[in-house]
Amino acid sequence: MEQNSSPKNPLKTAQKKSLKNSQETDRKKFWSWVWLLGGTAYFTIPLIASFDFSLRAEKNVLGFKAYASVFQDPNFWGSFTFSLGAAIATIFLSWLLIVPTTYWVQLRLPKLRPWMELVTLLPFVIPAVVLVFGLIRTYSTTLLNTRQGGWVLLTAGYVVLSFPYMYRAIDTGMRAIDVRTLTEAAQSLGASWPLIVVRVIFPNLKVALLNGAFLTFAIVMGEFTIASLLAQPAFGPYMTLLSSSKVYEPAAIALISFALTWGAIGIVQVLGDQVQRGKPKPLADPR
Amino acid sequence: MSYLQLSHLFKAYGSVMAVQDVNLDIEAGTFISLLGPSGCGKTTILRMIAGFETPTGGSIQLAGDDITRLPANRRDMGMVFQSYSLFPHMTAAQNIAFGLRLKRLGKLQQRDRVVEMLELVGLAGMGDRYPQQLSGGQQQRVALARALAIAPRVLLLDEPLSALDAKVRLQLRNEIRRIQQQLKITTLFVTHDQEEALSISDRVIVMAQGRIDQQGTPEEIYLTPNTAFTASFIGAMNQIPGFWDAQSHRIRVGSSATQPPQPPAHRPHTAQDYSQDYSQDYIQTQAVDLPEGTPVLGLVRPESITVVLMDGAVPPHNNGLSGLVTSRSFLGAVVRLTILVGEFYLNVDLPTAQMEYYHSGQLVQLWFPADQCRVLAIAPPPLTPLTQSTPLYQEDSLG
Repeated sequence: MEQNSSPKNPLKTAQKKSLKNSQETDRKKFWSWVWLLGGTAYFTIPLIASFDFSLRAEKNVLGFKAYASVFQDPNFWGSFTFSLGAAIATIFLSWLLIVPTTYWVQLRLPKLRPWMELVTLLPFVIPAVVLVFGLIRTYSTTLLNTRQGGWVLLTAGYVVLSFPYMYRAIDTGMRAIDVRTLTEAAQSLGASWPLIVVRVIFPNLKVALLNGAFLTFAIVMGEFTIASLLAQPAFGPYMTLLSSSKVYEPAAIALISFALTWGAIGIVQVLGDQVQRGKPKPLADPR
Repeated sequence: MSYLQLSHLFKAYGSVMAVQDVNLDIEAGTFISLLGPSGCGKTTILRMIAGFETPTGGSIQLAGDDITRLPANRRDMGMVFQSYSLFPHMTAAQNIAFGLRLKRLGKLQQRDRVVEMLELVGLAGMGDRYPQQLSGGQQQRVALARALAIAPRVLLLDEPLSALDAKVRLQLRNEIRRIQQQLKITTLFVTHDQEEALSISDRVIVMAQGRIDQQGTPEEIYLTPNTAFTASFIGAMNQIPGFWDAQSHRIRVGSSATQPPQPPAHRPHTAQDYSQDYSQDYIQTQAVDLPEGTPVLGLVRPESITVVLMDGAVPPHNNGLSGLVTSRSFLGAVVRLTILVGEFYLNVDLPTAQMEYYHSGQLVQLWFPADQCRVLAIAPPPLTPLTQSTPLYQEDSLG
């Protein structure tokens, strides 16, 4: 029947085309949901299973006994606070190292940027075990012979591990501001280099610094290799030790570790939103 | 004695000479504009004065002190940038107070000075706004206030109006001039906009290819350009090539010194006819002392030329020409006619109200006073197809 597709029935042709487009859109939506739900299931089903397992420490009763056991263990708090301290030290040292370096490269040595990116990607390539063996061999007769030497090496190792995350966060933040003009403006007003970094550059990198900080926190809290080989009482080795001696507590602590990581990332999001909300909105009609 | 002095200043980037042998003396309290096209070196000079670039050669002296190698944060100069450069995490008041804190002024003194500066730039009561809450013009006012708050010895402005729209630009440039005159602060203003430079400067420095092409008052630069570049860069300038006739003190127009052939018997019907048959042989100019036969350009501004319809009278002591209107361009307040006169084109600006009387393809008469035509000695102009095919005729062959 030529009637339906003939030029004399443009309305019917348009309707047919609209229906076809709508069906195509629905099909795409369907498959989008399929992949989203599939991916979500892939990640959440094991977590749900672990959570369920962690609730069965008491026979025939679903309860938080395993969690209570973990939280009552003095070694848990000891290792947790130890790693927390190392994480905070790592974050501040990373800021002190990476912010001025990235700033100087952006301002005066842009040709070195590709090399910076290469160096900061090395922790992805070089296994942590190789790093820590290098540290041990180099400092076995010096730092490692001191009381705090192991902690110092541990923190140094963490700083290296944090390079990819901290550098990328800070580099992205710096690219969003006109570093050169802000620097020159501050210089023309009499500011020295340290003052410029502290009072002009750092305040404009709040979100970037926090992003890098919480990613570093998540990495440090879960790190095992370096802490274990340096024989430090960090959270990572504690979790591994617990898994070799207990049954239900490792599941509980795995979930606690997940919660810590996701919590850190969530805080990054919240703080980022708060900083954005805290920024003054443009006036509707500035004079 | 000069307040700010640049002596044999050079700046090279690899093999590229961005600034070549620049010598400049700037008196205290004057407003100087560095004017030129992009890449001429004007911003480089400003940045060397500010201390953001190190000269390759030469020296910079301020009030007798050599500041060539002095760090930027110790030169006591205020600078306003093209891209506003306000600190985004500080309010307008905090921005202005930034330099005052570094000078260790007391809190009360800082506050008073901030209020004074905000009033000076017309932003009283807006100190608590952040840069994102200000318009472009307001941001530049804050940037200006911030630069002035520290009472700098020199104020440097690097194309501060380029990012603003036309009306705001006009308003702000007059504000800048008013403030500069009020504070009597030595000011160096970089721009590529000649209207800006000519309207607010005590002196204009025209730059080209890293060198100073000409410097003088705005009137001198506009009315008496000394070089072909300045003549063509500043405003629109008609350039009539020819050779200097030392005996009659006139320009013999054309690219060759041949004798004019006999005029044809017929009247021109086309542009080609016209260009071949009718041309002005000589042009009266300002008095100048040049050897016979020197290649020259006769320079006359479009607004100095009067256009009348054919058969109009030419006043005495004026150059009378005939030409063919080849195009008409509407420029707002004026309409620009491009007129073929012999082998060269002249641009003539007329009030828009006269636009209806002139159109393309029309034969017209034009005249301009002899003293409005400057003479510039140059290298011989290159030959063009029109020049090669066009003989020279007497003006009265139009008959």
